[in-house]
Amino acid sequence: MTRPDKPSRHSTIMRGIVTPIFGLLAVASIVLGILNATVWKPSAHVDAHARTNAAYAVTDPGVLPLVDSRVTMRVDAVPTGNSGSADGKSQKPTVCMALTTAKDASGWTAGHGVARVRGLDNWQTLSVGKDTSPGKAVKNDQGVAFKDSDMWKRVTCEESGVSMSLKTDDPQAVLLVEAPQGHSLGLEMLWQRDKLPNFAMPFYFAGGLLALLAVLSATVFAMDPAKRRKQAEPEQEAKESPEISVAQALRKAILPNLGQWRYSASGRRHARGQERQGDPESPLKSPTVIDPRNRNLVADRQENGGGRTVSGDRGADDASSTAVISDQEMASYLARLAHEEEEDR
Amino acid sequence: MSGNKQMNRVGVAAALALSLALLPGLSGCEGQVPQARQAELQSTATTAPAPNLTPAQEARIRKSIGAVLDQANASKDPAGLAQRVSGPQLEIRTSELTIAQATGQLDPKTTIPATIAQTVIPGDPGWPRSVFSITTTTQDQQSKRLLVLDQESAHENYKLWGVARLFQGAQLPKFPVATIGARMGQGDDQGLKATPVEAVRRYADLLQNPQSSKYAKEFAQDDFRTSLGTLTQVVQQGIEANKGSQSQTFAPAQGQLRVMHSSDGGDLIVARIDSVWTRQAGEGRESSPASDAETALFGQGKPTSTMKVTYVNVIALYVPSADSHEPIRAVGAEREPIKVEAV
Repeated sequence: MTRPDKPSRHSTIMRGIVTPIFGLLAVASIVLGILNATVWKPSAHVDAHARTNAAYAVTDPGVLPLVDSRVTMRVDAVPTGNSGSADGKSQKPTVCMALTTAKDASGWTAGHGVARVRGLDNWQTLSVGKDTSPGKAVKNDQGVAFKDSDMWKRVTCEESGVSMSLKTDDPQAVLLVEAPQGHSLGLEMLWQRDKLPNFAMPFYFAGGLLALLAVLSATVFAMDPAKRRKQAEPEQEAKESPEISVAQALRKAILPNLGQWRYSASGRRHARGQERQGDPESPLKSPTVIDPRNRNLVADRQENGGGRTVSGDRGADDASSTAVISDQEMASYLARLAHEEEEDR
Repeated sequence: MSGNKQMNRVGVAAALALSLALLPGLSGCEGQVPQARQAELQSTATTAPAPNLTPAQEARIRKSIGAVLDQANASKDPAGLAQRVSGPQLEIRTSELTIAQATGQLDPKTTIPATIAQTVIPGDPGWPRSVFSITTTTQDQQSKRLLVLDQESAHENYKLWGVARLFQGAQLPKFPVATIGARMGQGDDQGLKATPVEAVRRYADLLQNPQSSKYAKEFAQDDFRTSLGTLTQVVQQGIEANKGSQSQTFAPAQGQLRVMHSSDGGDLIVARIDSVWTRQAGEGRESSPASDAETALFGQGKPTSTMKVTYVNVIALYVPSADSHEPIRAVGAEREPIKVEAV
């Protein structure tokens, strides 16, 4: 026997363990969402660095618009250890940077060592690889100066360091940097992100879902399954598990009509239907299916003619359902058959 | 009741532990580091090569060339031309400036409009590279100019390699727009009425033998041949009166041609053809220069019975594809004497 005022074990687990877990997870998700939208919000600025001592540095195609279309590249020239000449100290080196295409950059740097900026190793470090451009090197004193070349879409030359800001979606665009002799280059690329990834929204969504689960765990899921089914699907319960308590059994035994009335009052359509038919106790009969192809009509007729040995209704049903020829026709048929047999003999 | 409380505490503790365990995994980050899409870039690079210059760069180059030309025109000194002028145009412009020094003014045909009607920029990698630009008409309604800008190597700048004055009503072939990128041709391009080198050779033969060239039927009549024929005929009348003689030889300059594929399968060729015009006076007379330009170039030279004038001709030819019914046609030309000598 269960006491009605004491919660069941199922209810206790749902309300005591599952609901708090869901609740805490919901709170944690929402808190994480808020953190992702504030403290942990991805930075709108991506700033990556690298250093190289190659004669030229060039970004690979597709690197400039890698993070966003707005990018700034800064380059600083730092004297290497073996370039400490007096001339080098007195004169500031000129660093040039040009916006061009990969094929023009390759043509200009032919035969020289090139630091290729391939992308990002991580959010703070540029991925740089060393390479040598194919082709024959041209001496620096031959041809036009870097800053005077027609091939550059934009070119900037400044002392010690140079910076160029662009807004480009062209994946073919590259930046080419010429290092002054005896200097290494400090490369820095900064992207300004217009569209930041929204990491908070999934947490908000999960938080909402978990909160909903917590509420459901404390209410619907915490109810006794039998009660919940009874409330939700009373018809199915009555059909599948007709559990009757002792009190109900007694009540039915003592006051059967009351019990019958209560059942009918509970909305059982079959019971009501039987009451309407006026014979609540009669079992439902399934219709008899007769296949005439599987019947020996002559034998049936003979049996029926000799008296009803087959009991009751079944025989009546069969005779009426298979009476496709009359008795007179059958008699004439049998006579004709006998006559033909005699003629054959 | 105490059992329930204990279970509640266990549940709360479990939930807290689970939350804490999940916390590092759920913490915020900058997202995945993006990678440059090399494969995609390479595929697009092979299908549609980007033009070697933007229209803005082309305009900047023409402006630089124009500045050098203006400076040379102002001083009538060809000394500084080489930094932005090359090929046949360097010799032609030098001669024009020399003539201008003698005559005091530049021939109006030397005008190059600063505005263009069309530019054809190829996307071919490597060097030498060429850009074909077609100017508007001049202020005095001279015909449009076809400019050939040439870059010999990556460490050189574009230079004005050739200028051809387009004939009145000349129909140029269609080219891709400057933002898409055209394709340069080579001297031995196949699938045409004739390879570019062969077409230029046949045209030179036609210039030299206007009546008897076996290639006459392959070429449409053009203004250059007409005017050259008229001039030769006029000179011939004078020479015949002196019982003299004249002859002209035309020879394509080796490797001096620039080719651009058109959208309809043909090639537009700009080529240099050198010619020598030798005039011999009869009856012991002296042969004199035939034009003001020749007079200016001859200067104070002492005439003899024979005068030899060297010309540089720049010819623009359109060679249609082999399956076309159109003939090869000249669409523009320039002709300038560069040396006049008495031999």
